[in-house]
Amino acid sequence: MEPYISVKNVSHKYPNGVTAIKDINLDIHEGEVVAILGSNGSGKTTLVKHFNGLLKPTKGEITVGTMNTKKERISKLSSQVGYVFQNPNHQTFLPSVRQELAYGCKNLKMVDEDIETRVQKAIDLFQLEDRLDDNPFDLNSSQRKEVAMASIMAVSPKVIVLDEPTTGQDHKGCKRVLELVRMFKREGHIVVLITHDMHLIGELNCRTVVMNQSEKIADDHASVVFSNKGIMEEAGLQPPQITQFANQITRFDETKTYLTVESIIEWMKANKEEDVKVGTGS
Amino acid sequence: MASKAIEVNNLTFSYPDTDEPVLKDINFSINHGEILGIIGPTGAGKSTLAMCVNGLVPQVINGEMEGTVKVNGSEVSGSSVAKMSEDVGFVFQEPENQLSQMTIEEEIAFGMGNLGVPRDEMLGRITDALDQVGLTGFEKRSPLALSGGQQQRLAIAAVLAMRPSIMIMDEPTSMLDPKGKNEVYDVLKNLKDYGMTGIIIDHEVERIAAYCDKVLVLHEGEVQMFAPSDEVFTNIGQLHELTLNAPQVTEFLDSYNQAFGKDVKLSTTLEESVDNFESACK
Amino acid sequence: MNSLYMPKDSLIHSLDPRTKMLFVVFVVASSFILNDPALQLVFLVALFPLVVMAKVVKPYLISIQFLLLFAVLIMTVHGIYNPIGVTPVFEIFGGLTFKYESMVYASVMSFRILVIGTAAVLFVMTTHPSDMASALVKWKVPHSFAFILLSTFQIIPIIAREAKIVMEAQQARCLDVKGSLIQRVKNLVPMFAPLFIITFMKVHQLSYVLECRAFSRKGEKTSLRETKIGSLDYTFLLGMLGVLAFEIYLKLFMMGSLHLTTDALLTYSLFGTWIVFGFMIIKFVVKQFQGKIGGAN
Repeated sequence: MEPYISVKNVSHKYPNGVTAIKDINLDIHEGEVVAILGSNGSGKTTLVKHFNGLLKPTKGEITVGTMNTKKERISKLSSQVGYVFQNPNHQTFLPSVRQELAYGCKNLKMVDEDIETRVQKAIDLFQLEDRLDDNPFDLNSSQRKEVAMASIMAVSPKVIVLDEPTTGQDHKGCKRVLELVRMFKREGHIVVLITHDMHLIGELNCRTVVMNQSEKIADDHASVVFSNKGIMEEAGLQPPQITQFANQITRFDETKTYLTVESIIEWMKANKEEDVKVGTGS
Repeated sequence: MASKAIEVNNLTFSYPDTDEPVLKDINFSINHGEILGIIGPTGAGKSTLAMCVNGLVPQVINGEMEGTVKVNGSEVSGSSVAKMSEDVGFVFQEPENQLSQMTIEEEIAFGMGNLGVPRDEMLGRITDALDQVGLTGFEKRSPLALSGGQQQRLAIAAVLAMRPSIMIMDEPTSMLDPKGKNEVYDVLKNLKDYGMTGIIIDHEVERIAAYCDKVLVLHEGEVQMFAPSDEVFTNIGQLHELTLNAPQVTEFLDSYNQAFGKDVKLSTTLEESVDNFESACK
Repeated sequence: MNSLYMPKDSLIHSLDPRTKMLFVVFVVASSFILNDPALQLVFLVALFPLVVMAKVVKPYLISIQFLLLFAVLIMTVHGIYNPIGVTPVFEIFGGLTFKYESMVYASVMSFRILVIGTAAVLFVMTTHPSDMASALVKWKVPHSFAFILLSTFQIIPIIAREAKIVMEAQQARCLDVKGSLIQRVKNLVPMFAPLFIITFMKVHQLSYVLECRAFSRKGEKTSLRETKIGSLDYTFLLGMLGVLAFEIYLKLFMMGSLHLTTDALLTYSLFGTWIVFGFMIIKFVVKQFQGKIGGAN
C-alpha cells in the first residue's frame, strides 16, 4: 500500500544555519497511530511542521496524499493535515465554541451547508452540544484544549497531529485524550502524536519514532523501542514505571515488554497454571 | 522549633465572581523538614491553596477568606507577600514567565536586591544557589538561551537565594520534557536532604510518591485525604473514586491481589514493589 | 540579541551610565546651540572618534542608515519647497530650485537628527540595560519605572517568538496569510487577538512572580551591578563642560565674524546624502534580486 505521508531524505536547515532535522525517512500509512518522542530540541516539532507545510524541506521531499508539500499552500495542506498546537491560546480566539468550530471551514471558503454538516459532525464526535455558546476562555484548560482539537477536526483532515496533548492534564484529562485518539483512529484518521508522555504511548501501544539530536534513532513498535535500553538512554527517556517493574520480575516472560498494568494482568490470567505453579513455590 | 512549619485552620476561600467557595474548610499542618505533595483533579483548588500559604491569596488575588494560615507560627495575613517571601519561596509552572532579567546572575540577584541583601553577600549566595541547582558557570548567560529544565532550575535558584525556609512549587515540571523533569526533581531531592520544608503540586503520582513524606488530596475544594504518602496511594479505591490514580506499581499490585485473590503488600515505589512481589511469589 | 547593547571592552563602555546620559543631554543641547550647518557637521565628525573608541563602528553605521533616510527627505523637500528660501543656489530639472535659506534650515535639522541619533546609538550600544536601570534608580527614578523599562527589552524577543507561533497556529487552521491586501488586513484579528491574550497572561503571571520576589517591599534595595562614578567619568564630564563653554563662546562672540556655511558646503552635503542614499538603494535592490534568484531554485 502507498503511504499517505512519505518523508524522503528530508533535512531542514534554519536560516540561522542550525540543522534541525537530518536525513529523515518516514512513511506513515492509512490508519496508523504514530508517536514521536524525543527531548525538546531533538527536532520532532520541526519534522512534524513539514507535514502541513509550515516548514518546507531544505533537502529531500515530502508527499502528503498526492501533494508535494513544497508546491502546495499551507492552507490546502492544513485541510488534510490538522495540526493541534500544544497551547490552545495560540489557536482559539473567537467568542464562542460554535464560531471556533466553523472557523477553519470558513477559511477554506466552503459553502454554508458544507460547513454546517462538518461542524455538526465535530459537535457529535466531541459531545459539545451543551457548550456551543460558551466562550472558550471561560472553559478550563483541558476543555479548551478539546475545543481547539474539535475545531481542527471540523475541517475533517485525513491526518491529525496532536502536540503534547496530555501536558498539564490531570488523570481524567489524560484518559480523555487516550479515548479521543482511539476515536480518531476508529473514524479512519491517521494520528501523529508529539509527546513526552510515556504512559500515553504505553496505553496506545502504537508505533513509536524516537528523535535525538536532529536524527531519527528508532522507529518501531512501542514495546520494541521501550525495551531497547541503548535507544532509551541515548534519548534521555524512561519507559513507564510498570515496564520498569515488569523487567525486574523474574517470572514474567522475558521476551515480552509489558506497557500497561492491564496487559500484565491479562497475560497472567492467560497463563494461570504457570502462575499457580510459581505461586506455590519451586 | 516548637511551632509547625505550616498550619492551616478552617480555611475557606471564594473568588469574587463565583458562588461556591474554591476551598472549603481546609485543615492541615506540616512539620519542619517535611515535603507535602498536593494532588487532585484540575480545578480542585490546589494552586489557590498553595497561594494562601504565602499570602498571594487573598492579598494579590482577591476574594473572601476565612480561617487562618500560619507559617513558622505567625499568621500570613499579618504581613505582606513581599515580607512573606523571606520565609516562603514560590516556583510557578511556566519557567519562562518567571524570568525578568538580562543575565542569569542578575535573575538570581533580583529577589535578593529587593530584600536589600548587600552586594558582597549576594555574590556568595549566587554561587551557592547555582551550585545547588547545577548551573555553575552559567552566570553571564541570558536566561532565554536556556532549556526549559534549566530555566526552571534557575527559577528555583532565584528563590533559594532569598533563603526561605519553605518552598512551594506549583506543577514545576509539567511543561518540561523527561530530561527537564528529572533535572528538576534531582534538585528537589537535594533540597530535601538540606532539610527544606516544601509543598509540591504535580499530576505525576509516581514522582509524588517517591519524593513526598505526606500527601494531601484535594477534590472540589475539600481535603479528601491527608496522610503519609504510602497511606494515601495504597487507598486505591478512594483515589479512583476521585478520578485520581496511584503509581502504576501500586495499581498493579492491587489489580493482582484482586484478580488472583492474593494479599501482596502494596507499595508505592518501584524497588519495594519488586521486592514485595518477588518475595510473595517465592 | 535582547537589546541593541553591544558587549565590548572599551573606555566608553566603562563609563558610568549617568555620565553617558549627561553626554546625550550635552549633545542635544549642543545641537541647538550650534544652529549652523557647518558647525554641526564639524560636531558630527568630532563625535565619530567616540564611536571608533567604543568599537561599534559597523553596527553604528547600520543603524544610522535609517536616520540618513530622514536627512535625505528633509534636505530635498525642504530645500526646494520651504517658503523661507529666497536666494536660489542651483536648479535641477523641471525648474525646481534649491534656495539658500531653505537649505540652511534643512541642513541644520538633518544634521541635528544625525548628531542626536549618533549620541543615542552610542549610549544604547555601550550601556547595559540593567546598568541603565540601576543608574536611573540612583537618580531617584522609581524602581517600578526602571523595571518596566528593563523588562521591555526582555519581553520583546519573547513576543516576537510568540507572534511566530501564533501565525503558524493560525495557518494550521487553514488561514491563508498570502492573500490579497483586504485578506491580510482581515488576518490581523486572528494574529493579534491570540498574541494580545498570551502577552497579557504572561505579564499577569510575571506580576505574581515579582510579588513573590519581594518586588513591592518597602525599604532599601541593592543591586548586583555596581555603577560608580570614577576619575574617567570626571575627565569626560570636564571635557563636555569645556566644549560646552567653547560652544557658548562661539555662539555669543564669534557668530558675527564666522561664515563657514557656503553654497558649496550646502550643495556638497546635499549631494553627499544623495550618493549615500543611492548606494543604500542599490544594495537593497541587489539583495532583493539575489533573494529572488535564491528562491527560484
